[in-house]
Amino acid sequence: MASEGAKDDGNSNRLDELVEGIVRISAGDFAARLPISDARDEIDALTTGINLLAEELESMYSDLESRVAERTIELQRARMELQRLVDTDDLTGLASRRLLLERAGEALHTSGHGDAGTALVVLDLDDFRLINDSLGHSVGDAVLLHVASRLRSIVEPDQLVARLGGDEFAILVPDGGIDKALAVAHRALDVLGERVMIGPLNVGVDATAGVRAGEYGTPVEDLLRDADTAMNQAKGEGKGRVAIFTPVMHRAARERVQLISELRRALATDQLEAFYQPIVDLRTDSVAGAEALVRWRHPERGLLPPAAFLEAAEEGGLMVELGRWMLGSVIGQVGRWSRELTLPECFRVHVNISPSELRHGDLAEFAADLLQGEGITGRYLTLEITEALLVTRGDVVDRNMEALREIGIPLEIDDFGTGYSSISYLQSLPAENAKIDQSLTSGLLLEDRQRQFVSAILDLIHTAGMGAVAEGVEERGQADLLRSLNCEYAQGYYFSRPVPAETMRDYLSGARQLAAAADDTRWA
Amino acid sequence: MVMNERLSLDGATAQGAVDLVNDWGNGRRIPVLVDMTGMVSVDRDVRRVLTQRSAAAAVALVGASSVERVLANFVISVTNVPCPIQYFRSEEHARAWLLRVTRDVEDADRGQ
Repeated sequence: MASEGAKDDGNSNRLDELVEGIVRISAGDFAARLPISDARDEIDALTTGINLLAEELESMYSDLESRVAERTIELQRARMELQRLVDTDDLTGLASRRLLLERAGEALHTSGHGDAGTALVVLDLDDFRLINDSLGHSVGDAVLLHVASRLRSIVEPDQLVARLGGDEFAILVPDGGIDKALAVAHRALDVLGERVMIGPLNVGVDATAGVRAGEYGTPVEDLLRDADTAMNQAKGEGKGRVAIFTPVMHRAARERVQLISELRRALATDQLEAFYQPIVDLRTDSVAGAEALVRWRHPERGLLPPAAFLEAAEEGGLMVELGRWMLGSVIGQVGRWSRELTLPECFRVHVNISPSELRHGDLAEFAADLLQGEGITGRYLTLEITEALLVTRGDVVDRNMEALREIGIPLEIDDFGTGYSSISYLQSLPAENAKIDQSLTSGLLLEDRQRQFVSAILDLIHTAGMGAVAEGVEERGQADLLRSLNCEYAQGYYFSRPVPAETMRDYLSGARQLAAAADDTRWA
Repeated sequence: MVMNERLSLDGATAQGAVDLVNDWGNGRRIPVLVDMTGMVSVDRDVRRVLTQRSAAAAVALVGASSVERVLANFVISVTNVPCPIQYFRSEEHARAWLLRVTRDVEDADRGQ
């Protein structure tokens, strides 16, 4: 009995040890193993099972830990890659706008950056769109890569080159202030201007730069905005230069933003008006048409000429809307005139079309709908486009011009002789008339050489199978001379200033005579 | 094959046993009877060794106590041993099973 009791006590102790062991294992000590006695009884079997399960747990736990470690490393790599992506410009590998702003913020909020402080240079390539449009986007991308590599080559190790988007770049000069930033900007412009071969093309890139010096605590957004403002100001003054930001520019920029928003409202509330400047036929001494010119009846500033707001329209992306408004207004007016009056046989209203309008796919369709609405044909219209657009036109422009011709609307080249004309390209021009710029007409009577020059240009236009319209005719002598040089059409203050639609109607109905009638009876 | 008393079977010892079986087989497949009486533990590496193909046509594990029973059945159930394997308390039953199963395996081999 005594030995039975001792055995019970012994088993009870072993069970207690077993319980202790299980507590240790369940507390996370998976390396713990419980001893097996020589008895090799059921308690030992239980212990063996628990040892086996503990080893399983230990092994699974260790697998899990190593997997978690692997995943953590993968996650860190992915996070670093993501960071690299948002900090880098895809195409050029330069810093992104985000990284530039971050670094600029750090520089502007770190004291002890010398006395001169942080400055930012913003660079914009001049006429980059021409490269993209005429040579294609792959050449455009190659040029951007070239620019990136050139900019990288001129900066110091602490300066950061970023691509802000499109053809706009920036260089952060964290130390050295305005002087150092100016030196960097000029060096950048110089190095970009050097011509290089990009594929088979010899390309030089001109750029314009704006510089803004910051002070301790200047908000980064202000730094970037102001450098941009300075760059735009420099562009307005003739490109290829560097401008330093001044607060006056900020006011000008604010006014421009205000003007854009007012113009948007003007378009919505019918504050715009089409004026008409008569175009005369020098062969028949009669009104052959008119050029439609937009005016803005500003509620506070009175009647504004296009020069006062076209730049704002361009900047605010309103050119297409403005152009469409103009086309709608003119076609509506011509429709009314055609119903109320007997219009001259070859009467046409000339409407200026901006490159952005012609790059919109549905211009011809839009015009056709308006014409149909008024019950008139395209023969009453001519669209004026610039030489530059004709040279750099792409597929959409070609399709638009073809579609416009199909609905009877011819094209006229505006400002002929001031742009990109080359003799060879004249042969293939899809235009009916060319307009001789007033800078050429103005010196007609004063300089013999100018007369010969205009005469040669008229010959060239006629040889290319087009008619000529001379603009800027201000006196009788110019009209007579142009007539003797076989120029078909003319317009200018000598005949009439641009006038409201009602006055133009009077010219057409005969109720009012052209200004030239007072000077030369043939216009009476 | 008789295992030592109080053996903690690890991977290396198990591999030594498999090598010995392969020697005995000498190119033929043979029945293997393992007396594991007194074994204390089996570690995870043993399971990796037992998944290899060997000369064993079938393996009978024999033990005397519940400890061997737990060890043997745990290993059998969690290891994909490439031949028939079973635990017995009596050597006699183990031998009978081995003879039967080995014959089946030989028949199957011949059939192939």
